[in-house]
Amino acid sequence: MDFVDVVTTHLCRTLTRGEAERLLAGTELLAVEAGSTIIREAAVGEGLYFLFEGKVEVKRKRTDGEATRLAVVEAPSLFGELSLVVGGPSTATVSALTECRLRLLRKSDFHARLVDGDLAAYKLLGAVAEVLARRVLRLNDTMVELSERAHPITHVEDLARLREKLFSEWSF
Amino acid sequence: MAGVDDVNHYFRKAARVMDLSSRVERLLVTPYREVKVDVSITLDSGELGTFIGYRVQHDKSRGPMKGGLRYHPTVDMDEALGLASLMTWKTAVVNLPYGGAKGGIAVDPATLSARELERLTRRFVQQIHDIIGPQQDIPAPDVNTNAQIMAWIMDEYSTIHGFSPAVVTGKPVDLFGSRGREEATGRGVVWALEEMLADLGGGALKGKRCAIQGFGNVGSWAARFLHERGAKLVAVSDVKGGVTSPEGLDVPALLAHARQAGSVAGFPGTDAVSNEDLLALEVDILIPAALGGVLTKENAKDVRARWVVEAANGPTTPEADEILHARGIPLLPDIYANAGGVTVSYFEWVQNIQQFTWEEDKVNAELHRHMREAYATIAKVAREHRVPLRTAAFIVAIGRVGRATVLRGV
Repeated sequence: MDFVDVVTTHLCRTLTRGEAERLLAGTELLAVEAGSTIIREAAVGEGLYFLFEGKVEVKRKRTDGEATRLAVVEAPSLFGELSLVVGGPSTATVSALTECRLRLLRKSDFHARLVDGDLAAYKLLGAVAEVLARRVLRLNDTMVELSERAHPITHVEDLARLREKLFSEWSF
Repeated sequence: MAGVDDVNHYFRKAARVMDLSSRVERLLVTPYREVKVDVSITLDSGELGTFIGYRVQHDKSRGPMKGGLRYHPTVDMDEALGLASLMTWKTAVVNLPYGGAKGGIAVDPATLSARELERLTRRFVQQIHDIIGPQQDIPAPDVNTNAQIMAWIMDEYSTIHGFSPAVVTGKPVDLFGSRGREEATGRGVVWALEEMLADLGGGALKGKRCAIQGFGNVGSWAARFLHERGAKLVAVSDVKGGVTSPEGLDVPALLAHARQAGSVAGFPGTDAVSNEDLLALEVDILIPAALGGVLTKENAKDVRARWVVEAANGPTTPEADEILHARGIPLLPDIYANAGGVTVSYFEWVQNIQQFTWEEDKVNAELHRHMREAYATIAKVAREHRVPLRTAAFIVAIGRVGRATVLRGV
């Protein structure tokens, strides 16, 4: 597989082949088996993962300890982008659903490139922003869906409105 | 007939004026309980007769549910639901402490002997006795059911639950019935009409030309009371046909003829008129007092009456209602106009519970008060919100049912 190809055609289209090659040169190739954990929730995030092959699952623990699946990510894709931007402990666990091939761009390497003014790093930031934007959109939809599902609240408000109306405007 | 769609159409029209949410609409429209039972009896021939009985209880926020039982081949769940919901709004319009219900048996009682009819009625009571009751659901006479059938219902229910005259109304006066019950709907129709005429500048009933479609209990009593007030009855009809006389019919003689002949048709000294043509006669007041759905989008444009009074349940389809409104013909809606019957049913129930009998004057005075107060409220809403009387009546009803519902808590 040509990693450079995948990056320039799918993951970050603004990168030239040369930029992609130089960026990937600093990354670490990982091959993981199905079922193994790639990122552990609450552990310090290591950086951005380029997923070239396979399928991973993103889960987060609820307050009752049960894990909720947030997403399934299929290659080619990126994950771990939050750690690149905000740092701190990882907010979710990512584990391989199938055998996966990935490359890890370490946070320290990425920051060094930003400081150096490496255009490729800035282009990659754009790609990360795009991933984040898509996540926000999906989150918005989920919010609306959950608020619609949370029937009792609007039902109660509805009845409060009705009561108000029936005892003022429509009282006779 | 007044199917659930028509009733809900008028309900929604009022709900839109009140700006109710769809969730609240659904809350108010959804029936409390629908019951369908097998009513099988052994026929006189020894064969098994299988019939289906229905009872729909629509809303009980304002009190026990109330509504008629009809014996008719067209009875089904949809019709019962529409009429049950109509009863909720009707009892609320005249401010009775009741909710709405309706039911019946899909049967043509003309095919049954009196003994079969009694067995059928008692069997039906056995099937629904645990959902009716003086504080739960109180049936009453309706299409093809009468005081005798109500007496059987009372008796059968009482054998199961002990002495319970208040379980059903419209009973014979000799068996816990109320004076003035039989003529109550017709009387209420005429009082309602008087209120409207006074309010809309129509003047007195004296000399007004009236046409009544239907000469059953409601139509015939309305004819008598109109006649008493000096109105001129120029046409009446029933299932077998109609009669008309431009100078006005001799009502006492007509009543005698109808009693004897079983129909108004053929009344001497008159011209024949069809049920359809009667609706298009040039009169002051048109009173459909028979079936539902007789004023339609096809014939509403031909109506030449100045006022329409719905003595029947649901005689006007929603399209016809729009046409009459657009033509500026005021219409007294069924949920108010024919509420006299259920109002005196309420008095009967009150007397049964009190074990005390009212004089007929008291019954009539109380009925008159309910009709007057209801009209005043409807007219006020109609004026304030510039809506037709029907929409105003529904608004009054929805307001009352809605307040009881939210006060109880949902």
